[in-house]
Amino acid sequence: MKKSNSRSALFLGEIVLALLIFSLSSAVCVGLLFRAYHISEASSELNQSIFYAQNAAEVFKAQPDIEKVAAILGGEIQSGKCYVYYDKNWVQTKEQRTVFTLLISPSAEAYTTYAKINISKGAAAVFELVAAVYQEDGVL
Amino acid sequence: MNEKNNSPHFGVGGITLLTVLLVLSLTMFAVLTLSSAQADMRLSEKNARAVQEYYIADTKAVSLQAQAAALWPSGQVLPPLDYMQNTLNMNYDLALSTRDNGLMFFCDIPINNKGQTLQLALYLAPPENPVRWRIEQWQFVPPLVEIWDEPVLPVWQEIFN
Repeated sequence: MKKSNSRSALFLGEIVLALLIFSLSSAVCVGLLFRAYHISEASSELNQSIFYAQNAAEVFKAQPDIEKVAAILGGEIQSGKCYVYYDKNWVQTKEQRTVFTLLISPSAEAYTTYAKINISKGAAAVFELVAAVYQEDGVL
Repeated sequence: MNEKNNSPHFGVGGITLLTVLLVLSLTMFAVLTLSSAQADMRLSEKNARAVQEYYIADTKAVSLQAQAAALWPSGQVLPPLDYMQNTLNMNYDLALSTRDNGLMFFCDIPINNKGQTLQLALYLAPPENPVRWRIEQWQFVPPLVEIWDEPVLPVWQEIFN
């Protein structure tokens, strides 16, 4: 009977120890998976940002007039800049529901028109590039 | 007999072994998922850098167009090629030649340090023309791979009689 009790106690101890190790390692693994999920999300957002920024850059290079660019991309003009708003699935949306914002800021020098294209998520910048196009008069 | 029936089914050590196996497999999958996500992120960052580098080179090309057009404004004759070449002072190879009263520009603008370039062939028409630039080539060129003209293999040359 004593032998049986000691064996049960040993078995119980083993189960408790196994549960402890399993829960600790599970916590670590959930942390790793959570981190992987966030990295994957960031990677996907960066890829989409590159695509949308390139698209905007090529529209600008083909038509370096900010109002026409806004009309083509479906954006809004605010103080000379073009804003295009996207939701979390990169579907165009209103300013109130925006997750990602594409901002095109034009500037001009003699014979050249520049567009700084920024994609941001909230206040954080995701991707940016500068496109330039030659113009005979260099004005917008 | 009762003692035997009440004894645990797995026996001492079985649970630990099972836990170790579970923990190992769980950790392995978690680490694999993380490394895969990190590899994806590295690839995305490389792609982002490549796109930015291309647009920087593209902007340099537009800057060349603007500077060259400014050096030959309306009402003036074509400046000497040496003057154009020295004034433009680009930090990449630039070749100029005259054609049909205008100027041809040939240049390779480096995109990055891996040998990728933006190859341009542009024609600048005289100032009286309404459209001054004609783009004949505006092309991304990958690095050249060395090709051996005559591959020489170290074969045995002796001939048996």
